[in-house]
Amino acid sequence: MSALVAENLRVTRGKSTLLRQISLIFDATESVAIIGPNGAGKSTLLKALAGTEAPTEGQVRLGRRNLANLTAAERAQTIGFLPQHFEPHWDLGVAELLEIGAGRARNLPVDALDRTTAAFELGGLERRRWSTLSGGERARVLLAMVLVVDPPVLLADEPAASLDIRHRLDVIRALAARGGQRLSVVVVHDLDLAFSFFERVVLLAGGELIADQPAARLVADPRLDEVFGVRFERLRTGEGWHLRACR
Amino acid sequence: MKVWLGLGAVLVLALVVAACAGHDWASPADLVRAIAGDQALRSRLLFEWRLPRVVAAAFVGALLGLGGTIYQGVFRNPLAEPYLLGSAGGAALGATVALLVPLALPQAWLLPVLAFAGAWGATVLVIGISRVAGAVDAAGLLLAGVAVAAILGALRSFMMLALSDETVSLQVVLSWVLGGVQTPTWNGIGWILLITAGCIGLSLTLARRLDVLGLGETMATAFGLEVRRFVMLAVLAGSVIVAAAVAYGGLVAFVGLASPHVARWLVGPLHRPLLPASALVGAIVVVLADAIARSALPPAEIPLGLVTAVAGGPFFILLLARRLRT
Amino acid sequence: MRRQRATPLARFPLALALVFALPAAAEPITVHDAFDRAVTLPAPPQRIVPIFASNTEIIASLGLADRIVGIEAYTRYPREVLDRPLVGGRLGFSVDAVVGLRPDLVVVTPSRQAANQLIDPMERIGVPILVLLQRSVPEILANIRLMGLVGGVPDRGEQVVARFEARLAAVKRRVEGRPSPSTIMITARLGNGLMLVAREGTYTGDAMVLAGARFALPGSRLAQVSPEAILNADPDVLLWAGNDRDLKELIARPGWAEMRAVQTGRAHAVSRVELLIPGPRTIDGIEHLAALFHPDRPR
Repeated sequence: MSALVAENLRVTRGKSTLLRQISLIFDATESVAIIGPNGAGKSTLLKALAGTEAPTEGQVRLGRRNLANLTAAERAQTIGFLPQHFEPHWDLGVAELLEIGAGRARNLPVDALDRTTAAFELGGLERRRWSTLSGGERARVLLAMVLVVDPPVLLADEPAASLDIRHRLDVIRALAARGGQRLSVVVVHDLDLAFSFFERVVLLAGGELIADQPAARLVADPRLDEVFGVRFERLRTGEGWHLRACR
Repeated sequence: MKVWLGLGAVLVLALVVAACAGHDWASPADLVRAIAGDQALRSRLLFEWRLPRVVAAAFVGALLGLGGTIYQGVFRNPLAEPYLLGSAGGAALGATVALLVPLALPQAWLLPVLAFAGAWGATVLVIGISRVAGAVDAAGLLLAGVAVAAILGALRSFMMLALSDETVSLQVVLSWVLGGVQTPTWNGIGWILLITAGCIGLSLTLARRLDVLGLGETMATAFGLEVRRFVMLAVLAGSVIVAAAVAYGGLVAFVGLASPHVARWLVGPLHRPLLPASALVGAIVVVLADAIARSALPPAEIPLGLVTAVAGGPFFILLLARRLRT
Repeated sequence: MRRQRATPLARFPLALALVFALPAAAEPITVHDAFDRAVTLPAPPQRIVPIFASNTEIIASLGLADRIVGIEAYTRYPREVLDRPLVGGRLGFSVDAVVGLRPDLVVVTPSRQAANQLIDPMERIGVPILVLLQRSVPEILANIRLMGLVGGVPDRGEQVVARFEARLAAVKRRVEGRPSPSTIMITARLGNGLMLVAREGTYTGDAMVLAGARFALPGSRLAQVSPEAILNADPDVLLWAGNDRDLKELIARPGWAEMRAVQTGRAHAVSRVELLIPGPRTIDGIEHLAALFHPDRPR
C-alpha cells in the first residue's frame, strides 16, 4: 500500500490556478525530487501534500485515510514538513527548539534527542539562541527539529539558496538518504543535486505534471530542455550528474 | 532557580513596603500588630483596608502579566497588550453601567461582575465579527477589535453624559477607568486567590502550544497545531484572565504589556517558565505602583493607571533603545 | 419628629435632673440615611469629619463646629473650621487621612467620589458614616434635623429648622399670587460651549421655584443645555451663578444682548455659595432671589 497518494489535485487561489490535475503515488520508502521552473507550483504541491493547505479539488491520502479528515496532530505524527523559510518569532535557544520539535511525538525513544543532536552536529550549540546562529547552523537546527521524531514521510522545500555550497550539499544528501528507509519528497532547485542523489524525479511546469520518472531516465528526457527553455548538456560525473545549460 | 527565588523575595519585599505605604506610613511593627488582631482604629485600618488592597493589587498584577503574555504569544507581537480585542472598552462599559445605572443589586458585587462580563463579552463579540467576516487571523481580529472598541467607547460616553447627575458624578466612572485596585474583603481575597490560581493553571495548559505557535503559522500547523482553533481558544482564555484583572483593578495601563518583556529577559521565551514569571513581575509592578499611588500626593490618591502609564513611557523608550541596539 | 415646647424647668426639679441627665446618658442612636442605610452611633459624636461644604455648614449651624476635626478642600465657611486638617479635595478623599483623625462620625454626600471612596472602608473599619442627599429644599431641612438628632442636639436642630421654615413662609407670602417670571439660572459654562442650568428635581431648581420663579426650559435628562436653547426660551429673568464681571461678558455677546431679560435689566449675577451649596445659606439664597424676582414688596 502506498504511503502517500495525491488524486486529481487542483489548487486555485482567486482567479489563478496554481495546480491542475496532479496525481502522484509515493511508496513508503523512496527519495523523490520535485523540480521545475519558478512558478511551477512546487511549493503549492508540497503544502497540499503536507495538508497545511487544503486543495480546491481532489484529495490527498495518507495510507488509507484522507488527509482532510485528519486533525493537524494526527498529520504531524506521520508527516514532517520542512519549509523553505523558517524564522521563529521568539529568540529561542537550540535546545528549546529541539524540545519543541520532539514534543509533537507521542512515544519518543529516550535517546532520540541525543542522537539527533549528534547526527546534526549540534553538540556545541545547545545554549545558543537562534539569532546568533549562522545560516548553515540554522538549517541544521531546523532539520533536527523536524527529524527528531523520525517521521515516516518527509516533505521538504529546499532551504533557500542563501546557504553556502557545502551546507547545501550536506542537507540535500541527508534528505535524499532518508529515502532508503522512509519516504522523502524534496523540492530541489539545483538540477545537479536532484539527479545525482534522488531515485525519482517529478517535473512540474505551469501547475501541471510534465513527467514523473526514475532519475536516470528523466535526465535524458528532452522535455527538460523544453520546460526550462534552455539546451542542457548532460555530463556524467563520478558522484552523479552535471547539467550545463546553454541557449 | 535563582531567578525564581529572587522574584519571590522581591515580591515579598514589595508587599511589605506597600502595606507600610500610605498617607501615614506604618512601620512593619504596626503591620505585625494589626495582623495579630489589635483592635485600635489604626490597626483596623491596616488589616481591614490596606492589607487586603495590597494583596488584591498583587493578584491583579499577576493576572495582567498572564493575560499580556498570552496575547503577545498569540499575536506574536511584542506590542500586543491585554486590552487589545475590545476588552478595555467592554469592561469600561460594564463598569459604567454598574456605577451609574441604579440597579437593585449591591454595587460591591455588581461592579466586578459587570466589568468582567463587559470585558469578556466584548472579546466574544470581536471573535464573532471576525468569524462572520471570515478573517479569524491576527489581522482580522485586530481590525474587529478596533471597531468594537470604538463603538463601545461611544456607548459609554453617551451613558456617562445621560446618566450622571448630582448624586453620582462622572468622576466616579473616570476614576475607575483610570485604574484603581478595588479593596475586597478577606472573603473576597479568597475568591481572587482561587481565580488567580485557576488562571495560572489555565494559561499553563496553553504554554506548549503557544511555543509552537511562535514558530509561525505554517510550521505550527505542520507541528500538529490547529492554528485557527487554538488562536480562538487562547484569545478567549486570555480575555477571561484580563477580564478578571479588570474587574478587580480597573484599567491599569502598561503592566500587561511590560511584564512579559521583563519576564522574557529573566527566564527566556519558553512559555512554561515565562507565564508564571510574568505573573510575578506583574504582581510586583502593580503592588509598588499602588503604593506610590497611595502615598505620593497625600491626602489624595493618584489613580493607579496614571502611575503605571507614567512609568510606562520611559520603559517603552528603553525597549526601543534595546531593539535599536540589537 | 414632633416639636416639643421647652419645659418650665424651675418648677420640676425631677424634669430638670432628667433634662441634664439625658445628654449624659449616652444612648445609642440609630438613624437611616439617604441611602436607607442604618447608621448606629453609640453616643453623640465628638469628632466629626464632614465631607463637602454643605455638610460642614449644616453641622456648624447646629453649633457643633468645635466637634469638627477635619475638612476637605471644598469647604470655605465658616472661618473657624478652616484651620482643621484636610482629608481630600479635587483628587479624591483619603481613607488614611480620615482614619488618622480618629473620627466617630463621617458625613458625606455622594458627589465626586466621596461616597464611593469612603462608605465601604469606613464600614469595614468600623467608623459610622452617614450619607446625605439634598434633592430639594425640604430635604436640606430634613438633613439639618437629622444632623441635630445624630449630634445629640435634637432640640437645637428643631429650632434651627423652625427658624428657616418661618423665613420660607415669609418668602412664600411675599411671592404668592404674583405672576412667576420664567427664569433660567446658568450654573456653569462648559469648555465646549454648552451650559449647565438649574433643573427641576435639584435643590437649586427647587430654591428658584420657592423664590417665586418658574422654569423657562423644559426638564431634560441631560444636564448640558445649548446656548441656543437658552436664547430661544428668552426668559423673563436670566440668572448667572457667579460674579458680575463674567455675567457682563456673557450678555455682551451677540444674541445674548438682544434677550428680553438683558434688555429689561433683569439679568443678574447670583451667589454661588448661597445657591450651589445645599445648606443653611440656601435659605439666604431663596430670600435674595425672591427680592430679585419681585423687587417691590406686596401691599
